[in-house]
Amino acid sequence: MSDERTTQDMFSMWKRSMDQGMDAWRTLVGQPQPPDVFQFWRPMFGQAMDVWTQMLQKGAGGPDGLAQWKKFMDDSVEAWSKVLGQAMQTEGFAAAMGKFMEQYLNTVGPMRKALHASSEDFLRSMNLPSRKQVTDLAGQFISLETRTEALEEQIEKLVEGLPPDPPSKKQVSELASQIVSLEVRLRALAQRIEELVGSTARVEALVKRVGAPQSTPSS
Amino acid sequence: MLEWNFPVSGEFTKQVQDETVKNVQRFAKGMELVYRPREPRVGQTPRELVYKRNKSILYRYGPTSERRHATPVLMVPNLGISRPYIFDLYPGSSFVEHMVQQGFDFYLLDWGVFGDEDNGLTVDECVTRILPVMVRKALKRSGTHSLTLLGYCMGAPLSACYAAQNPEPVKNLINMAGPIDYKYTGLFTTWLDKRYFDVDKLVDTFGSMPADMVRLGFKMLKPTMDLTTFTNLWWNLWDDRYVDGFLALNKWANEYVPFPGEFFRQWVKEFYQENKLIRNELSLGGRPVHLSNIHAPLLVVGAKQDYICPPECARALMDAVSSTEKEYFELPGGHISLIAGRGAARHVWPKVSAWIARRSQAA
Repeated sequence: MSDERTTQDMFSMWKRSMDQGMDAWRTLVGQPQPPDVFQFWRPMFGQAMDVWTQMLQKGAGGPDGLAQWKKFMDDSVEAWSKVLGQAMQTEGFAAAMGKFMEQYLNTVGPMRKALHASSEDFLRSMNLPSRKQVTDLAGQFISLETRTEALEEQIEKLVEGLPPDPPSKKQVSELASQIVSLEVRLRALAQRIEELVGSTARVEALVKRVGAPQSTPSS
Repeated sequence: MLEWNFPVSGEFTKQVQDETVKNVQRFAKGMELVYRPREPRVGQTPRELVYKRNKSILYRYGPTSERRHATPVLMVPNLGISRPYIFDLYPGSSFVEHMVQQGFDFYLLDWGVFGDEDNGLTVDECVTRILPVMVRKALKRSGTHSLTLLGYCMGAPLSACYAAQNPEPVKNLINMAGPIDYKYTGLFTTWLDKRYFDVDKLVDTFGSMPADMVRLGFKMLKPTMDLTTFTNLWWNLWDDRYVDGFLALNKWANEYVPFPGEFFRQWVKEFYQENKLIRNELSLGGRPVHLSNIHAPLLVVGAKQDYICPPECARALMDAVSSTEKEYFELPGGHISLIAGRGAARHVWPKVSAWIARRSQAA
């Protein structure tokens, strides 16, 4: 009830201030009885407020008018969306879109080609790299990167294939010294084999001399 | 003079006051957005770069001390279309953050933004070269032999192809809104039909599928989406939290990424037009892709109002695999609602993380 009074008071205050304002303006301007400019629109405004009052009394309208307007917008847009969706779902629309795309590409394709060609010529004349050259260079980088990655993968596979416990430094040096001593022994063996081969050749020569038939003189 | 008597109540006055205050705030914050636009901070969950291959990067999230599950999770998002920071939008609305908080060793594959030099990249290379390397790197870093493979959107069929050819390292497989049977992809099935869409001509003209054309295609799926988005923004402009969320999501929703030319050509022809994946006719890297080779536990998540990957399109994976342990659940919402937003945080993420947790080794 106090809020009703407050609102009513607010409106009354507003009306009073309007009237007082008009009086003050008349006094300032010095016109004894200027025409009431509001005499025309005030009744209309009053009637509108009367109508709104009746609506409020019936429970319609109110500050939810915006929410109602939004709901109206949402419902309208949804309805439009459904209609458009149904239209676009048809084969006729798809065919039309396909034709449009074909014509567009038929127009754009040669234009792009001509534009690219003239751009390339211009950039070449200015000694500047063209888009195609930059793209090709980037492509080369990518293929280089791909090859490096393939190598990396192979190395990873090799590393994964190694035994879980790699040999220690001590083991490696022991292995190396064993290999060295094996080498020495192999050399000695090779020398003995050479000596043997030499003696075998001498023996063969001796055997040949001994075994060769002697020539008899003719009488 | 007229006397105006209003049947005002306390509630009415309060509503008028609230609405007036909101309108003033809407105006003030609207002006602030226009004259002092701020760049939203996205992708704030701490991460480390594990491996980089050309444009593709493998990230690992979270500190080691909080990990409760030894089986790592590798998330494979869509290649092209959009950036993957949708999974780590901002604190409190981040799938990555949720998974890290649940104690997962979480990896995310960022395919990257491809340029003209990558127009030769094919689906074969993605599934038989890039994905295997990323899986190997994740396994090596985590010191395990198997992981959970989580595919979202286009990442799901790519993950399924990888899992079909390499079942050993895949402990669990998850498909979130990923198209498997392309007969059911709605508008895209009609628009990309080989009778109407000449993918060869498009790729030969542009060399790639340009980002602007990708944007146009997705905007056409829901032409009134922008109007709804900005109406909702105006309506909630007084709410700072809403505006922060809007800025982050709007940044992502308008940042499109091109497709490499050969990838797009193969993707449209073999997946959308010929539907080879579900028919077991697909061959990648010279080896056949049979979804029946997948025996790992499978979870498929669909969204009821998903017009990019309708539920039946994702659910087709359930019947194609040989897994004995499989589960499907469907939630209200659209394609993005599974991975971003309050609904996702409340209904989707806990289910997905609980499912993975039950099938992961303890750390």
